[in-house]
Amino acid sequence: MVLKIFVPFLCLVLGFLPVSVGLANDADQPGISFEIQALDQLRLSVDEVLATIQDPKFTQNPKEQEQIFYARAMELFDFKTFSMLSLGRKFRSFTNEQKESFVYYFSKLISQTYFTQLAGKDVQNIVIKYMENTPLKPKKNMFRTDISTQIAQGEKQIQVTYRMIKKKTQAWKIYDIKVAGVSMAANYREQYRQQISQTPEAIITELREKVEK
Amino acid sequence: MNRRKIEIYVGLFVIIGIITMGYMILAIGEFSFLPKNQYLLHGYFASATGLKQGARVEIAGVEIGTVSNISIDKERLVAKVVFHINGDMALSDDSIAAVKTAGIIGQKYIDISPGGSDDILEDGDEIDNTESSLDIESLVRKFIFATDKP
Repeated sequence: MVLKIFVPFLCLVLGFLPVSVGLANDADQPGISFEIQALDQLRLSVDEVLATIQDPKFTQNPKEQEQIFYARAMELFDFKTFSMLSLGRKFRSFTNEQKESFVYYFSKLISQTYFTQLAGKDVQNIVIKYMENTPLKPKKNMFRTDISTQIAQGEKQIQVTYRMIKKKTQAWKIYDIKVAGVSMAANYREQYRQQISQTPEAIITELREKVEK
Repeated sequence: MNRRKIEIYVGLFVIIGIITMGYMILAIGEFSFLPKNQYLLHGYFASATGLKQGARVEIAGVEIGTVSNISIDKERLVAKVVFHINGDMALSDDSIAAVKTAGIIGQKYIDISPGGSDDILEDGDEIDNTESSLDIESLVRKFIFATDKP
């Protein structure tokens, strides 16, 4: 039961790890495909984040832990792509400033929402299997891959797919997460799609209020 | 002479009948001799259960194309769905294609959620963001096992 509530949040926070560390060097290594780098980094990140979650230094100071996760989230998630995917066609009606504001509050909201769910949970008997790494067709110097994992705690299992992107010299970043086949970005887009008459300003105000609450 | 007239009338009647029947078959079968201005897109789905060839492709409930082929990708073992999209309908490359059901037990169709990217999909391109049809059985199974405590 714990797994059911907790795994989606874990999935998100697992992505907050330093996937980017060392990628610039790895990208230069001949013979290593981009997709394998993404998988290796994700695997490394998962191990590190589990250690961070359990580290008593952070568990005793949730505020500090939250800040660390947010800083890593900014490094490791491509929140611009994530935001664009989540907003869908509405993204076009945003000015550049509005886009920046949205990305800022959206990343804050995601980080806050999922961190509070993860704090204090037991992660010791979580087992993560890396099932498949499916590269997508590259376009405009942009590489993408979907990494499927299976996260288990006891007898409960859930399938999680990390959708990762690499733009030019940038490191691999996560731009969407699918939990049991359901995309987070698509879920947000569906919600924004229902609010036809909502202006960009109203969307940003609503987000800011949620973050500052 | 009279007999000849009758034969001509019968012949005309038969010809008109055949033409009418042919037209009705084409009309009911939604065949068209006029080539439509359409382009092809495809997407991979973990499950295309219930989706049929000829199913509607919609945006906001309005038809913008049809499913033209459903096959299995032998390497990845997922469903490959090909659809025709009306030529005047430009879709951005971050559009999401989801298999949905019209009503509770209605027919399956593809719902396209338009994206915000400036890059437009062209003939033969793939929609990367797809969502499979809802599998009620597996949901029920998960629910049963999730609540089945020893």
